[in-house]
Amino acid sequence: MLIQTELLSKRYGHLAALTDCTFDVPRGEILGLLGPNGAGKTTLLRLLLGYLKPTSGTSRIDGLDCYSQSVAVHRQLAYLPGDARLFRQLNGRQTLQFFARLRRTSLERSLRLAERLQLDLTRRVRQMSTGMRQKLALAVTLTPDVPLVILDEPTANLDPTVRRDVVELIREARDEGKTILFSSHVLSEVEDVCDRVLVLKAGRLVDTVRVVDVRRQHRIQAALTGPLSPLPAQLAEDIDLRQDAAGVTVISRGELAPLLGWLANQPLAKLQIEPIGLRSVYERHHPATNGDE
Amino acid sequence: MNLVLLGRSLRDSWLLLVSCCAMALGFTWLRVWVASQIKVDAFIKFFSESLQIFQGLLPVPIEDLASPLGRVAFSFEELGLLMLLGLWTVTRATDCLAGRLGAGTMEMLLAQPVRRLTLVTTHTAVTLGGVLTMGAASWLGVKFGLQFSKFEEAPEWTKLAPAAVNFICLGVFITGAATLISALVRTRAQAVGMVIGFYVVELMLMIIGRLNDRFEWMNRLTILSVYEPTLLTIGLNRDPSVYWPLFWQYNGTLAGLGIAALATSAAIFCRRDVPAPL
Repeated sequence: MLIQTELLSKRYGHLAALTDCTFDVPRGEILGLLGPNGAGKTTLLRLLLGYLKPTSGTSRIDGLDCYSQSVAVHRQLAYLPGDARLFRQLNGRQTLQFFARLRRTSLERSLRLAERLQLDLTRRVRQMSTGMRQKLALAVTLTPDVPLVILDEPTANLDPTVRRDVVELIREARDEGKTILFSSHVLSEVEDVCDRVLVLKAGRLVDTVRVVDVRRQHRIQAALTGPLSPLPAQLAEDIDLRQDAAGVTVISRGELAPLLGWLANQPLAKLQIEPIGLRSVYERHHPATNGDE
Repeated sequence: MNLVLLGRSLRDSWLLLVSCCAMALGFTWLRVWVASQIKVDAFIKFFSESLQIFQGLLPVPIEDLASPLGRVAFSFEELGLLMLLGLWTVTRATDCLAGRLGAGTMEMLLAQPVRRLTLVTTHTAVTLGGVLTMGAASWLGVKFGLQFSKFEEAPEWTKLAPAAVNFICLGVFITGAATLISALVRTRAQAVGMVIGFYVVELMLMIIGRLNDRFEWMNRLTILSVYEPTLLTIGLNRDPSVYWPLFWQYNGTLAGLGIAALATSAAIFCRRDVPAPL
């Protein structure tokens, strides 16, 4: 395991920012962190970076304690903050040079990344838009050859074209064998990129889902024109079935084909089949309130 | 010490340092030249008759202050020069931790394999180097001022070394105090506000303590009571055996407290939580 946390907690007086968070991340995995603002995502990332001292529990990266061995830990990782702020007086090239020299990494690789992200390296950071600054910080972050990359909402300020490039870069990093910890509010992006997702709520880890499993799940809704026949035993294991006055709702966690065979013989009308997706998992823990999208 | 960070720190601050040093050199040069134009008798009469109440604030008796050496040494107590020192030290020291935390640049720096202690020491080394350079520039300004002065018997510029050393030690103290405050708070504005508040309280303690005998104890509470460039300059040139211990005591207090504050701020920063930027 590259990352291991055990009962990791952080309190500020009476406020619990993170409580008893335990999870492992194997090498080469892209792990997503999901949760609304204040759920504890950033606290978790800052604990892993050694920026915060845990109130209790432990976190280790490559066997090193994240707080007491933070310099050694930082040799193993690269980090992109949610709102990356760079030295305002430097231009793009100078920024890349500074971090390349600090890390003793290749400037050429930084420049290649910058070119791919369509960065104007002659412009000073203070003259850059938020999106450009974020792209520059992303080039800084993805340059070092480290086993772990931590990205805190990397696409938050980017336009759709660059967002696509960033997602592509993350996938490439994964293909190079890097482990990626990826926090985002964009569910579709997390679903596209991540292998596994941790859902946080009020500082607690409330769910862990594998994206491949989520993708296999479907919700089927239909009106009933007569009584349903009994569900075959071989299907019952992977299916939740609910009936009410409006009709029937079936949640399938496994293969869809056998279920469709059974449904074809049922007295149904207005049949709708939709993939459940990460949104359903997320909304199970964080139900939408009025005004939420 | 990290050479990459050191280079960055130097490039960030060279313009401010060069400006402050040039102004310190020009200020002391001009100040010494102006001091050499003053008619001593009129100066003593003015202070003795019109501003008697302020005599308690003078670092040395009026006759000593009116001497060429006294008038030149007093340049190091001028508000203009002290403001330049404050500008350099407070700007740099508050930027060290609170400034970077508030600006958010600390986030990216701390993610690199660099110790927190290295970040503090590199930044502070440049600040203290700047204090030394400013002290040297001020002393050099005195030298040039004396060369162009109209004193009948101009003092040797080397005799002003105690004042320059005291000035440098004050810079070390301010750097330490401001860095310590910077390590405790979250934004640079808070740090600057607290440093200014600290200075105002110190100044009030000194003024009240010196003007009223009943409150003389207040003067002993303020760090400004050990910043006495004129007293040390005149004393060491007149009676070294008495004033050398005082020289070490005053400068040792300033530099010692400054270095202790720097060590404390480094210890605090190495242990404190680094909050997300505002």
